[in-house]
Amino acid sequence: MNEMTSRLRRKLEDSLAELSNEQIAALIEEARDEALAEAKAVIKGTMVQAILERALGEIQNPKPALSPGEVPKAQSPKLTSETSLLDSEEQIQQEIEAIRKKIAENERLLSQVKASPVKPVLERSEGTEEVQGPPAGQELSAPSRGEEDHGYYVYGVVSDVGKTGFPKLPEEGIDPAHPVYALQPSAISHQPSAISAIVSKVSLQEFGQEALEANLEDIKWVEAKVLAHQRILDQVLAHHTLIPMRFCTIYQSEGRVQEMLAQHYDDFVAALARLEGKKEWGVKVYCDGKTLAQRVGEISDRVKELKAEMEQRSSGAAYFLKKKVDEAIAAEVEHVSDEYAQRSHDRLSGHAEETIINPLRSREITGRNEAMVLNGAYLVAEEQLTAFRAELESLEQEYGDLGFIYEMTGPWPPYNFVSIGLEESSADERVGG
Amino acid sequence: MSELVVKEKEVTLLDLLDRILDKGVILFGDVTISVADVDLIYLGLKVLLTSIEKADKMRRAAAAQYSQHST
Repeated sequence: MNEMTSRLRRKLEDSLAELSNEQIAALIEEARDEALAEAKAVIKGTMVQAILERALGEIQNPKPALSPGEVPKAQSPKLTSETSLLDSEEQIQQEIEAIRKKIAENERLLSQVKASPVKPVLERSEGTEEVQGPPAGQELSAPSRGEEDHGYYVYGVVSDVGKTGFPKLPEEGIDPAHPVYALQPSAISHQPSAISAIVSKVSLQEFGQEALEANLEDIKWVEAKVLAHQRILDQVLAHHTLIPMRFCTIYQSEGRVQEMLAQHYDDFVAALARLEGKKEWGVKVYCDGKTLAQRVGEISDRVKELKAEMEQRSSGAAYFLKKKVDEAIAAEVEHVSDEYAQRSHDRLSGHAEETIINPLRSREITGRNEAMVLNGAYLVAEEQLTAFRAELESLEQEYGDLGFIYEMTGPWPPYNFVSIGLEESSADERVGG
Repeated sequence: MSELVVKEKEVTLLDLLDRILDKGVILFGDVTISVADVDLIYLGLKVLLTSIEKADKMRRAAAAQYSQHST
């Protein structure tokens, strides 16, 4: 900082010798602007540090996890500041430790909460072949005394299969030792059920609470299992309207699954009706900053003005003008980015029944050089799909030159368009991620 | 097996994780994954991506060194 200041001062003295009063005034004003910007950057850096330290403190001393009715945040600003935290492996280890402590805390709270609701079910559960699961208040883990040692993994819920028959389901569930099958709720009044759950048995050696916690730390295990989960749903999605469950929704007996179906029966039926004939598609838009900056330099009037002025000035003044040009370009790039991301979303939304904008993902987690500018999910009816795709192609053609890159994924089960059960979830806002 | 293929796989995994961990029907099963578990998974993904990136850099550095020596 000192070196820079004295360099600037010397330069100032030299230039002052040749400048008129007017030029001196302009010079001083520009210097002042820059000094303010620099000071702002330093203050910002200090604030970022303070915020990070507080966040880490929060992670190590967690508040209770349950936060009913909490809607996930639209933005996760902590994500980008986290990147400086994860500079070295050491810091990654520290973060893992902090999260482990949080898991232990959550486990404790969960076992307290589970103490009440589970008990009545064990008494009511009839007509199934299931042996009683673990006593109320305890987690579902692989027991030591040879009791029921399986859980029931639920992939999703589909509309009635009794009439239309069911396509061949995979031989292997997410636990390859057991097949996937459809399970109906126990009789609701006198009517046959309109829904079925897609389930498979899973070993608690792998999917019990403790084992699961350990396995979730192994990204390879997670990858294999989420892919298995998705492959199973893909087969179902091809032939049925489907409500997907979150990863690892596991119950201790068929009776418990049926109870869950009964509890949310009306919600499931309503959602299936709403989702009929529609599928979810994801569109992500990225921006190649260098390309866009170049284009902006060619297109923007303001930038062109500044550049022309730059060429006519002496080297001293030109130095400061160059900074203005760079700033103008950066501001314009940001403005254009935002505007075109919004335009893209609006145009695509015109061909979708429902839409949602999800948080952007940082470069660290996408592994890309370009910044993400839009992360959208679209619920598109079959009859709209052609127009939706055509719109995407038009966007690519029109905006591709500016550096915008479009990626579409799908079809997906409508993960982004169901809201059953959120009020019960313990999944309040995620930290980073 | 090029790095591009690996990268594509990671992007698809992210697309999948973004849906399956945090969306869909979220109910209290008898076994649960917590917020912290989800954090750990994304952390694992970052670590994986970081190590892929580091491996890339090392490979490129080695390749650059090699081409220097050979000219």
